[in-house]
Amino acid sequence: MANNLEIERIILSISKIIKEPVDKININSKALDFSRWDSLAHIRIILEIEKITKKKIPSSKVGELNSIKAISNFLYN
Amino acid sequence: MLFHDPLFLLVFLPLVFISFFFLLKNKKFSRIYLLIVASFIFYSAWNINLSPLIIITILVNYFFGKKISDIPEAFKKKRILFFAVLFNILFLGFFKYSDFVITNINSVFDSEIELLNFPFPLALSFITFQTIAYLVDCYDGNISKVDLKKYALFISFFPQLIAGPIVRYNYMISQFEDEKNASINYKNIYIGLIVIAIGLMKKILIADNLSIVADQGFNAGQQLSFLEGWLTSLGYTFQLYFDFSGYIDMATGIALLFNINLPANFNSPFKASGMINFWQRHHITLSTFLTNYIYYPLSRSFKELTFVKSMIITMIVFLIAGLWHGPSWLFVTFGALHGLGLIINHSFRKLYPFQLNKLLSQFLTFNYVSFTLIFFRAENFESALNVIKGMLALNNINGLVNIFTPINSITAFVAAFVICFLFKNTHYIIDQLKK
Repeated sequence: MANNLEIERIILSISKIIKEPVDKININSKALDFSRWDSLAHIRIILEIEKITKKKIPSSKVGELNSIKAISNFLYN
Repeated sequence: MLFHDPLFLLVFLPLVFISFFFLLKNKKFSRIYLLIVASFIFYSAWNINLSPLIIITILVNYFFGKKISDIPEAFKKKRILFFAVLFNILFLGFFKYSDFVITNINSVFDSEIELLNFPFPLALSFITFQTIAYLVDCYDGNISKVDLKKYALFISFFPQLIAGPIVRYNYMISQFEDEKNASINYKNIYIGLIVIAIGLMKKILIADNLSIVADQGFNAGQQLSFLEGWLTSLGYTFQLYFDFSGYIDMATGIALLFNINLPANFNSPFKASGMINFWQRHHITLSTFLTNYIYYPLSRSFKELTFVKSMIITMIVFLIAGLWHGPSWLFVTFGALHGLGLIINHSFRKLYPFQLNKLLSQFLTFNYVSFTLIFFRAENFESALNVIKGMLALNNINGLVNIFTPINSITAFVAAFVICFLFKNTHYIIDQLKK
């Protein structure tokens, strides 16, 4: 339940950063689906995830978290 | 030994293939050693004097990787990682950039320090980036057990040793360790041979024929006309793409013969609709490395990341990328122009909510990239300016005076244009064939 709430908050942040309506982003969304999810947006997303979850994301994982599923798997698996 | 060399295709590759699948069947470790030995023979065929460079970098970085993995204290781990990365940068710098630094010191201080004249350290730039990624993986605990023979194979695997793609340790080793990949796979052989053939055609039929035109333009002592300027610039743009992507296709096909999938490195970059999109499609494994290991760490080092700071970091990353391509101010200029292109693209996105017409964006992006490549190819700034002046019709010379365009080159131009803008790319073909 707590995990779902966090993912919802993450999706909301992503929608603000990439300027897409929140209903267009779901668990199957990937960076490649949105032209505005570029490297600049990605680093802002990572910083936002760290702020929401209070977890430090290792450098080698930053680039891999390029979809909602990858973010969810990294955080909760 | 090049991939399109008959010695490689008709002797070296079949010998390694037969030994791998038939002579060393059911001998996992022997197969790994075979690939390591084959890779060293392949590398030594270029210049045997350079082999110690690879041996040194493998041994030293194996030691660093092991230390980083074994030490539990975070602070000590970080310190070793710092020294390990520094060692790799200095190692590359010493062998690749010493003469560049000396030449600049001599010209600034009017000194006469002798050049070291080291032979070009082939593959070391790719190895350095791949090694840094490996060391960071060790630091982050992504590598379960550091093993010398696996690490040596990861660094030296001959299909991607010379020009990439830049790969991650776990991505490659998991494939080498998979027992399924030890058996011959006829579908992979079929796809691999098709991809090798595509790569060979790109290289021999298109890139080599376009180089005839581009070389004449860049080497012309005379002023280039409008038509010559454009032929030279476009000829080189297509030549570089078909040369490099052809090489990567051959590497992908050769690796596939051994059941190893290399990551895609090109995704029709000339169809890009902006510089951001171009770097998502061109030399993908390099841009991924630059983003993951330079751009993100630099971005995260700021307490607050503003747009301006991001743009400064983008420029720094592309200045490094330019210099990484070679020890020359022309490469730095190439990198700076790409950094500038990305800054313009990001600023446009930030300031204007609308998107340009797709065809117009593609046209602008292709021409901008083509312009930057003039600096990538030219021997000096004078030669680059000669091409640019020709393209801008500033030289007032009409027609073709300096450039002879044989029918093969004209055909290659047409084929290059059609393939780049109308055809699907090699990785799409691979995906379709695998279905």
